[in-house]
Formats: sequence, C-alpha cells, structure tokens
Amino acid sequence: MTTSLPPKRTRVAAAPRTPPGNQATHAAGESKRVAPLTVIVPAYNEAESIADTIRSLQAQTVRPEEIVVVDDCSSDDTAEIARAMGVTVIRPPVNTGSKAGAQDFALTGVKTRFTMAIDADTTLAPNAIEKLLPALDAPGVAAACGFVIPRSVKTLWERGRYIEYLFAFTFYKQVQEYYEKPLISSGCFSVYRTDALVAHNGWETRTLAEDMDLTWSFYEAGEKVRFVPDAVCYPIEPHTYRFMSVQLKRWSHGFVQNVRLHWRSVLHVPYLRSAVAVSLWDASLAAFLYLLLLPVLAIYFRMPWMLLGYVIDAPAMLVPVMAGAIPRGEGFKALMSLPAFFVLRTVNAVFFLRALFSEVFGRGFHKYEKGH
Amino acid sequence: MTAGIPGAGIGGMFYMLSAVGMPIHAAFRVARAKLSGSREQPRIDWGAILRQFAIAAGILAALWLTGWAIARGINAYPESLGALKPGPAGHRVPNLLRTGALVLSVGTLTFVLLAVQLARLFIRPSKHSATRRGAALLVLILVSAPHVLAQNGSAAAHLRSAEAAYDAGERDIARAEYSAVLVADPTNSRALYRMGELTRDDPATSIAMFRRYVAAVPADPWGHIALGDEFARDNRYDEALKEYDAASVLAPTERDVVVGKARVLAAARRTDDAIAVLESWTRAHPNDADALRDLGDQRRRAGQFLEAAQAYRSAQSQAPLPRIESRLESVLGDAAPAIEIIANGSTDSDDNRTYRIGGNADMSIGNRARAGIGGGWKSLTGIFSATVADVFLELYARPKSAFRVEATAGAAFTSTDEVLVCGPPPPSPTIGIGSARAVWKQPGGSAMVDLRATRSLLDASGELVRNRVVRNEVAARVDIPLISRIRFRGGAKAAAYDALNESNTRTSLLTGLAVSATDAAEISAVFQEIRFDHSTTSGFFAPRLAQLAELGTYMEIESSGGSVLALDGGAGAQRVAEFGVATADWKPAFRLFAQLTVPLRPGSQLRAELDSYDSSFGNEAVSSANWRYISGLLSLRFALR
Repeated sequence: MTTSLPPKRTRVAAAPRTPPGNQATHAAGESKRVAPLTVIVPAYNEAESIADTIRSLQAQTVRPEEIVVVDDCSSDDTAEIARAMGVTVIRPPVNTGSKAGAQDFALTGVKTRFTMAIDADTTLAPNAIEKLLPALDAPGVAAACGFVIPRSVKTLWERGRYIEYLFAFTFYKQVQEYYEKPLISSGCFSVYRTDALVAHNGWETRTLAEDMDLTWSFYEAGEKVRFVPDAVCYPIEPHTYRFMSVQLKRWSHGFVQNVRLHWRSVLHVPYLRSAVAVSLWDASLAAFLYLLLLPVLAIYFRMPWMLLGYVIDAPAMLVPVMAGAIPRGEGFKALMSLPAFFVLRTVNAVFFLRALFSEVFGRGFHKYEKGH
Repeated sequence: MTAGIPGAGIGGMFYMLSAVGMPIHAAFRVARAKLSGSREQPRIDWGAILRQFAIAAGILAALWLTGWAIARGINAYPESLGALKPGPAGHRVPNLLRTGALVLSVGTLTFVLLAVQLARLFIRPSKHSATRRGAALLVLILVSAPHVLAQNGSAAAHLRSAEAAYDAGERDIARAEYSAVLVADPTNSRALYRMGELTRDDPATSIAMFRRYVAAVPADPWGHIALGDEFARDNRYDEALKEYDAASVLAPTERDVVVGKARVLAAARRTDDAIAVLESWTRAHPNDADALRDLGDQRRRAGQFLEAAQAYRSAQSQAPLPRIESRLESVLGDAAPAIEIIANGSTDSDDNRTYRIGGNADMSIGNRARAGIGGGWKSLTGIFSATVADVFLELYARPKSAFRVEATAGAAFTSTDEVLVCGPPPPSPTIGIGSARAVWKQPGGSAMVDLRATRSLLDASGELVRNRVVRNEVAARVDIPLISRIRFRGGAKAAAYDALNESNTRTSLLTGLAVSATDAAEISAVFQEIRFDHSTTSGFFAPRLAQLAELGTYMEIESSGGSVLALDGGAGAQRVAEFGVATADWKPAFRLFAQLTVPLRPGSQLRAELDSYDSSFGNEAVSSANWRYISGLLSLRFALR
C-alpha cells in the first residue's frame, strides 16, 4: 500500500531510447521484424538472472521496439548488467515497494501500441512474442498471456510447481481460454494493449496479485484476455521452502484480496464468476476438509489407508499432465515429479486457508515480498 | 497461480464438465450463427476442443479405473474397512464410497454454481469498488498537500505541474497536484473540474468536486453537464436532470446539453421523454449519427421497431457501424410479419388431460401496432372428453413506451362425447370469447396499472366444456411505490360464471408488498382472498372462501446470447372453506412458472414454458380441492423476412 504521496518519477535513462513508433517495421539493417512493443522488466537485485531474460528478449523472432529494465533501486549489479546489454535502464528515486510499482514507473514512458510485462527471472521461447502478439489483433482484446513452464526442475518445490503448471496450463487454462475467460493473464509474461493498460491505471498496488487484479478489471470493463499456449515462457520458480512460502503467501493473499475487491463485479462476468466461485470454494471449505477430514476419518474409523485420499486423484491428474509433458518429450520427468505435486498441493492448501483467515478476520497482508 | 487444491475439490469437476461441454457449446454456436443467417461464422478451433474433450474423457476413465481398483481392493480385503465393520452388506461399501463421492462433489458443485447465479441476480456490480481507495487517497492528498505546498511553492506552480501530469496521463500525480492547488485556492475552477474528472471512480468525491465547480462557475453549462452525468452514473436521475435543465437555460441549443439530457432520460428509463428529445434534435440535425443511434436504441426499447429501423438506417448512412447493422437486422426481424406454432398440454390430479395445437400469424399495422389471427384445436380427456376449437383476431398496440393495449375477439367451438338427457336445451356450442387489456407503467418509476376484461370458455377439463362454463371477468392490478424499492401491490377481480344450468359469481382481492431486488428480480409477499356466491355442480371448485398467504419471487436470467429464463414461483399457506363446512386448516401451497426463450435469429425464437400448482385452490379453473396441476408449452415463432 502506498503510504505517502506518489514520488516524482525521474527517469534515469542510461542509454538513448529508440524513437517511438506505433507500427510494425523492419529495423534498418536487421532481418528480424520489430513489433510496436515495449517490454517492461521490473528488477530488484536480479543480477543473476537479468542477463538471460534480456538475451531471450533480444533473440526473439519478432523483436520488441524497446526493452526497459526498471532497476528498482537494486543493491547489486542489475542495472550495470542490463545497461551493458544495450537496453534502457530507468531507476525510480526510491524503491517502489512492489513489482506493480516498478512497472507503473516505466509505463508512463511507453509510447508503443503494446506493452509487455516479463519478470526479470523469466526467459522466453524464441518465438514467444511472435506467437503471442497476433492474439491482440482481435477486437476488444486487452491482454494475452502464454504457457508457463519452470526453467529448472530439480528440487521438490520446483518439481511440484512443474506438475502444477503442466496440469493447469494444459487443462484448466485451455478450457478457460475456450470460454474466453482465462483466470489470470500471468504477470510473469503477458502482453497488453497500451491504451487499455493506461486506461486501467496500469498495474494497481491495492492487492498482492496485480496481474489478477488487472485481468479481472479488464473483464469488468468488457475487454477480453487471451491465452496462447504456443507462446512459452520459462520463469525460475522457488527452489526452497523459504522462497516457496514467500510466493505462496503473496499469491494466496492476493487471490483473497482480489475476490474481496472484485466480487460484486465478477458476479456479472459469465464463466469467470463460476471459475472464481469454484476456486474460492476449493481454497476455503474444500481445503479445510482436505486437510482435516481425511486424518479425522482415518483415526475415527481406524483405517490408515484412508490417507491415500491425499493422492487418490493421481491417475486422473496424470492424464492432463502427461498430455502436456509427452509432446514436450518430458514424460519421464513429469512422472518422476508427480509425487512432489502432492506435497506442494497440501502446503498450498494450508497457505490459502491462512490467507483467508488473515484477510477475513485479521489485518490481512500487504507487504510485497520478493519470492520469484 | 492455482487457487485451492488443483485436481481435487470441485475445481477438477468444474473444468472436466466445462471441457465435456465444449463440443456441444461450439456446435450450438455454429448452429445459431447459421440459423441467424449471420455472414460472420464463429471461429471454432475444433482441434483444441477435441484435445480438451479427450483429456476430460481420459480423466473420467482414470477416475473410473481408480474407483474400480479401490472396489477390488476392498472386496479382496474387507477387513481393511476397520471400524466400518462390514456385515452381510459389506460388499456394498465400495459402491457406497463411489456413489457418495460422486454425489457429494456433483452436489457441491451444483450448489456453488447455483449460489453464484442467484447472487448475481441480487447484487449489482460495484460502482464503488474504488471508493475506499479513492477516499483514502484524497484524504492522504489533502493531509499532505499543505506540506507539499510549503515545500514546493505556489498554487500556480502546482497547477502547471498538474496540467503537465494530466496531459501525460499521470493520473495519480495530477490528482496530487490539483489537490495541492485546491488547498491553496479552494475555488480554483480548473483544479475543481479536473479533480471531478480524475475521481470518477469514486462518485461521491467526483460529485463533490463538480458541485464546487458549479458553485464557482455557475454560468458554465459544461459544469452542470459534468455534474449531471456524475449524478446519473450514481443513479440519481432527478438531480441529474435538474443539472441538465440548468445547462439548457445557459446553452439551449448546445448538442452536449440536448443529447446528454436524452441519455440521462434513457438511463432513467424515461424512454418516451428520451425519444421526444432525440426526435426534436435529429429533426434539426439529421446528420448527427450518434444521436440517431441513440434514437434507434430508445425506439427499439419502446417497441417501435419500424421507427427504430428508420433511425438506424439514417445513422448507418452517415457512419456505418457493425453493431448498429446487427441492431438494424434485429428490429427489422421484430417488425416483420411472424408466424407462431404452439403445442401445449396439461394434466392434473383429477386425471384431466388436455392437448392443444395452435398457432397465430401477426404483422405490423403502422409503426406501433400489430394485428393478427390465431386459432387452435384442443382435446380434453378425463371423466368427460371434449374438444374445443377456437379462432380469434388479435390486436396489440403500444402508442407510448409506457402504455400498451391488447385485445382479442373470436369464437370457441365445443364438442363433447355425451348428449345431455335432462335440463334445458343446450345453447349453441359456439361461444364468443374475447379480451381487452390496458397496461401503464410509470416511466422511470415502479408504479403500474393493469386493467383487464375477459370473456373465456373454461376448458381445463371435459366436464367444464360439457357444461359450457363461460367466465366474464373484470380485473385490475396496481403497483404503487412506497419507499425505496418497496411497492404496495393490490388487485381486485370480479367474475360471473355462466354454465348450462347455473350461474355463479366470484370476487377476489389481493394485497401485499413487492420488493425489486434488481431490475430482473423481485420478491413479494401477498395475501389473497377469493369468495364464491354459492357452491356449484358445473365442474369448477367454488368454495365459500379461499385464503392464500404467499411469499413469491420473480426473476429473469439472461445469457450473453440473449436467451432468457424467467422464473415465477411462490410458496405459502392456503386454507379453504367450502359451503356448509367449517374452514379447513392452513395447508402448504406451491406454484411455479418457468419460461425459457431462446432467440434463433432476429424476429424468431423458441419458447418453452412450464406451469405447475400444488395447492387446495390454485389458479382460476380448479376442478376440485387439493389440486395438483402441471402444464407445458412449446412454441416456435419465426419472422417472415
């Protein structure tokens, strides 16, 4: 939450910015097409990953007109690394306090027709932008997002997240896309129509899930959001419980905050209202029953095998997971990662319950903590 | 982010059902586009649909396999059931588990989805979602502004800075700077106006700012317009119109004043007034495509389809828009001659069954009326059998949006399977029937008057037809707004029943309250009392007194594709006193009417209805006490164009 007047934003452009333009052109002397697109990369102490992100942006089959790294007052070499790679680096006078704040700081300078948001620890498949941009040509489409796959799949938490993404992006998200209501245009990789983004005041800082807030705001305004499964991005996911807990805390509180903020309006958005209601049910009562009912029943009926209920849907889960993994040649990796998912799912349920309790009965949680 | 417990929970079931429904949904979209004759066919990615369908089918198969494996396991090792102690019926436990899990998840999902559908009927979209944020920001700005002023200089400097920020689209900074200006100069008109614009997500603040602007610059019509628009956005239409009146005194020929006022009138549902203003404006400015579109919309809402088409055509000739083209198609369909085929049937607890096949054809007469002819043939079976054929002429006129009249006149031809052997000679089996109805609804309000006179043959059973029971009735119903959304509802009916061998009279009074939850949902609580003059032997139930206390609800659910489901239900208690018998105890009484209308193409639609009663004294042609009744209707109406 903002606790003082918005700071005067002074731009510290370390490299000359390319001239603005709103039309797709061929850059002189280059064979790759250039899209009327500005990429905003909010970065706070991302020295380890920012180079990969920039490289993947510069290697796109359709290149953005400008890449702007918002160095949100990092204490490491993030700005220097980015600057050395020839992209625009801007720095707010003080740390903005959130990813949304950093993105908004850059948005004021965007002159292109499209704006892309990408996390500083996310890389893109070489054709990701090329695949994603056409979705925005359709009338009324304000945003489009792509398929997310963890870049590294080694630890328990990364494996759990890998399966969660395979499952969600192969099944849930594609069904949502058919009904024209993807639940979120993921903050780690999304492209927006700049005018629509500006009309919604950019990324709001009122919740901890600014991407969900923006997506639902678009729907409320009658605009569309698309999911393009062929546009793939690879973020670095939390590899330890500490990082994972920070992320889960932010996401779970963000979800509850968004439901509180938007529920009246979301009720009037077909399909989204059902998807949100079902998610809220699963995050609250179902999570409660999931965590408590099975152990209680197992103890009461003296049937320890009842605890198998925690993994009873493993065969069903495997269907969409393998449908997503096999075409990628990752069937074995997915199979080996499946057990980790059930650990993550249980932890996830705990975090959602805590967030719900805190937001409804407590003070809530508003401090943005970085956790990938 | 995946909220909750992906896979488990009702989320998995929801998306699985959504995926299974995708091919049906897509086929429906294609069929609908074809039926509507739309040149633009929906783009369907059948590959993606089949992939998701296959995944859903795979999940179903996996679930079935899991259930089968568990059942095998339990049957092989029944001792694993532990405290469940399988007895002789122990082999049923696996089935119980599977069925229980299925019923629980499907039931929970149904409950959640229904709750959402119900909630959306009663809860309006938030207009104030940003209110707290806006208010907090404003307070913050006002508290901080003196400090900012002291630090950074004069109001003029802030105004320059605010203007620059406003032009650059920096709304937060602009708000802060304009606020700083207002701290130093509370009547600075520029800052007041801009603040009004910048706080539109918070109607209370925006209205306060524009009010201050109007006080500071009372001679500026645009100030009144801006304030009026904010009032209208906050559903305060009377205040909005006062501001527009003030603006029209200052600039009576200004387009923004005239067209803006028409839009407020339209928002206030004062359709006739909006039409009058727009007609006057477009007569003087025939090239104003925007105003012509507005005029078309309002005429369409008023049911003046040919005139709406005229306005849309004029607008399209100036500046064609695809959405207006589709509205033009729609009103032309509504105005075209149409044919309707109707099939309906009913059955009741006295074993009376009826089937009717009929139809009608109607066409526009002038701009605001339709006339038609209809008829049908009805078969009645039960203790007595009969047939009734009817033909009628019908007239519908809606001279104003708020007022409409309907009339029918015709004849019913009866035929029974039994020749009467006693009593006076029967009159001619041809019976004149007809009705007249006038309805007035208060523009922009909730008052309503509905007057009716009908002459009808009671044909709910063969016995009624055999006795040729004809009812002549006059009825009146009024809704009078009381406070906020609450209305008084009153009604009275008086009817004379003429049968072969007797006459009877009935009076009916209704009183109660109705509350509009939303524009499409209403809840009511009514008390109704019905009295007959004496008992009867002509086949209709005529108690000395029938009383009904009922809680009712009416709602309309509209899909994005234009299909409408209307539900009118009631539950309450009813007691009946027959002649010569003491008043019976209160008994539960229920009724439900449901109507689904599915538009096929402009002017054409499919309609299905269900009507049912379970009560001592249900509708107006009950054949006996403790009556249960259900009827269904299916109709297809298509425009000839």
